[in-house]
Amino acid sequence: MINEIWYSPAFSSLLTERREGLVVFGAGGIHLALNLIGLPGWVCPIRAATGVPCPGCGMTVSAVQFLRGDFAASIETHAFAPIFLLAMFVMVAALILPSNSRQQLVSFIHRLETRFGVTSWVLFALVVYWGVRLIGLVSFPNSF
Amino acid sequence: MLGTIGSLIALVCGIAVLIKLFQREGALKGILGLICMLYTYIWGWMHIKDESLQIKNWMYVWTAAIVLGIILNVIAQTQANIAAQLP
Repeated sequence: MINEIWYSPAFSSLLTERREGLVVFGAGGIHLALNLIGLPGWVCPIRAATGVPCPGCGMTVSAVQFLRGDFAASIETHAFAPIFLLAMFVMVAALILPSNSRQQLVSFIHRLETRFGVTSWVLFALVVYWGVRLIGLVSFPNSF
Repeated sequence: MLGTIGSLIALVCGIAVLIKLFQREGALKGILGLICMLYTYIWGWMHIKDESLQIKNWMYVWTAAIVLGIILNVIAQTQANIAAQLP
């Protein structure tokens, strides 16, 4: 059962559904752009209601810092921002590539997920990272 | 106060839609939705016409709570700016 979940394709299925991928990328892009120009974007409902940051809190600020070349600050804010940006890049590639190349890319991601459970490992690591930050071993910066 | 209530309403609606996301798309996308609630929100709007999910009301209330939050933020920001200009 756990094996089935662990090795199930999640990201590649998002890439397969082009419309969903386009909307998710569009919303993510708008959110990132708003942050780049210093305007507020999406507010995390978990943090807004409870004050407790969710595992993804700080990712946008970190991504903006990464895009501006401030890599040290980016990693300090949220260590997973480069992976988030890589995922965004793959989504763009899946949206603009011709059908054959796109199919090859989706198959490659699908293989990574079903053979090695890449997405599960990343999400698992993200949750562990969040736990480590919550108990204070790595601090949450105040900048997000 | 109103902002806190709005945030709580948004959280409850988000969790309701997140549960449907878990049930429909599986654990991995569910966790993705938990990590990034924006994904849950988008997924909710993309599946709003699916009657079997019954998320229409949750999505409307969630969106209203978000809009309310934005309005309250703008009001708070304006008041803060006015207060800062007072001698």
